[in-house]
Amino acid sequence: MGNLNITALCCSSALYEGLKPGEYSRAYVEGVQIIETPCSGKVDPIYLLKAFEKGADLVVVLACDQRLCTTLEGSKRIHKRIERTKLLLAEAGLEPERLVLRIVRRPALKSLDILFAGIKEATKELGPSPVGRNDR
Amino acid sequence: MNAMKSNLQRVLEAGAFAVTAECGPPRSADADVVIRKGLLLKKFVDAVNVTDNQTAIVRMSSIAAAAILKSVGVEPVFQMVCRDRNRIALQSDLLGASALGLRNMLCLSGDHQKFGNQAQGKNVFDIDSMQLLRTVTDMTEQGRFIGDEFVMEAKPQIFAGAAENPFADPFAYRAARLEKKIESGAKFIQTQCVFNLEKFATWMKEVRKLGLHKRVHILAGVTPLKSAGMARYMRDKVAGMDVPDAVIDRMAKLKGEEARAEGIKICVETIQRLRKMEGVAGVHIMAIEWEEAVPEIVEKAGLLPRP
Amino acid sequence: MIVGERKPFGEIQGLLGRYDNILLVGCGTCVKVCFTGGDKEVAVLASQLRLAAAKGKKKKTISEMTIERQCEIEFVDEVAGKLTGNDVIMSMACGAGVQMLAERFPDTPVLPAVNTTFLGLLQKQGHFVENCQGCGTCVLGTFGGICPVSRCAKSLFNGPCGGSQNGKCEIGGDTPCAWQQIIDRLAKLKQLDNLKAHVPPKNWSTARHGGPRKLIREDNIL
Repeated sequence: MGNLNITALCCSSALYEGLKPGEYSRAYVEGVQIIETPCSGKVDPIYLLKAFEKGADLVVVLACDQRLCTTLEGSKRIHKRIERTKLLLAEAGLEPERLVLRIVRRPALKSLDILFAGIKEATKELGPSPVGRNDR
Repeated sequence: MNAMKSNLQRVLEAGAFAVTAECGPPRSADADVVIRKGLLLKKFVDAVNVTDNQTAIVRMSSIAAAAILKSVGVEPVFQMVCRDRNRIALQSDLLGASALGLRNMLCLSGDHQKFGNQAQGKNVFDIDSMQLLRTVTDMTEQGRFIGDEFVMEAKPQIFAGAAENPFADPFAYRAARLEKKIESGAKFIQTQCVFNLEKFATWMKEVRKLGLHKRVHILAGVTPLKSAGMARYMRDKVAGMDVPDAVIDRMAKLKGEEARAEGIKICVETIQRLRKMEGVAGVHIMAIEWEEAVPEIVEKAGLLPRP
Repeated sequence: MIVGERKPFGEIQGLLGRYDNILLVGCGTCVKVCFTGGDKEVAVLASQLRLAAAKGKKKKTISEMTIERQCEIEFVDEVAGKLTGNDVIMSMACGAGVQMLAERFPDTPVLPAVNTTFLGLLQKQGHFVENCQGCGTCVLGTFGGICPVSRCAKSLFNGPCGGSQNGKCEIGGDTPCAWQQIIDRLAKLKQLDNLKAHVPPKNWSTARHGGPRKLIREDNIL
């Protein structure tokens, strides 16, 4: 369980919005490669597929609630893109459950460890990706 | 010239209330099925329509089945849909039909092939039913083919009609469309089956306003219901069909023989009410796969003997 | 634009089965606009093929390239530069593009990744609809800008059939009845009289029925 490669694309507003001065620290979770995006609306299916190509066993996307998106429509788009990417993964022979979307309360920085612990627990049956670990 | 007129034409032109029925050809090469149905209907109707691959399900061709009916003394109305044949085939078949002595025909668009058993086939729709009507008119009156200077010697002798659906949309346009068909040469019209008499009466009113009832013979369609299930199916699954709740309710609690008896009763009542409408020149009984019901309906509606 | 849909993934894999080095070529015009075969779709398909190959423990290289349009030789020429080392080209363009590539590179097998379907437009977000059949004798002026050839399931010219109900076509799938649309529009334009005259049989010889068509512009040939 602790050995799964996890790549997380996290909206930076989702991580940091609402932190008081002095509360900021770089988002970090052990064993998780965190990639910050300016908005979850920036996330395209190709980034998610590439993460799996590079050997991720799980890919996580953190996004804000649609009603709170600071770019207005950004996080509205992520839901459908996740659905589409799940289809693309299934076509390619990967379990769609390896892609996880979490809508988080801002700022998620404060509860990151718990969040990822929960995700690992929920996906523990999956095991390593059938694709293997090589970067292609 | 009078000897060339079909029985249906003579009956309608004499002003008598005409009765036609429908015969669905078999999904096989069995001529006896056609003969049996024809003989069943013979004394009770003025002519029998033979459908053309209805609902896009392959059946014995309309012209062949019509010729078989003619051979046992039953006057047919062959049907031609525009879905399956191009102008070459349609005009060719018209010549052949006439040569076989078939004198009545109905021009139709045809149900889309997706409903039938050949949904992967190409459709044709080279010409539409209005253009087909005009083609029949040009062939019978001028001896001319589409876009051709050539004049044939023996012109086909065909009494052509068209279908009309008073219940389809756009409702407001339906009477105008009928006028167009008359101008294209339609001599008679058979309508989709009538259950909603109010709506039909509204359509007839529009038709009379334009004087169309005087220019074309309108036969109103009727269909006897076998069951409440059939009534609901027609209401929900068949395009352009209007079956009011009152009719469904009458069938609702009945089963088997009782349901069929009620279906026939409703049909007879409908015919009686249609006879009273100005401009209705006859009735077209479409008892699909229940041709046996036609004699009883015709008799009970007081339409015997036929002229 | 020309609209198409990517072929089912299984079919694509089947087509590529015997090849190890694949060049995937996208097109930046019509198929990009309908999210089927542009640069993004090339990247996605390439990624999927690599994932599938890795899962199946197969060694395949997938190269990617997208050109402006695959229906013009000057853009297609650019593909020559990326051909080396690849044993097949799979095109994500429409049928025309696939064939242009095949003609330009006769020594390389060229496969389609897309099922080209129709000529149409983007009606609203995510909705592409067919509305032109290239019949060669445009009569949109008579019918209020609504094409009976492409939008009526039966290509009727003299009014609707009996299957029109509530503005919908009998074929279902929420398809609008083109004739209801024509009548409504002409009514709005106060040009319903356009429909009074009988429309005679169409000249289909200018359509595909007359044979594959061509356009030759002598004035553009040096």
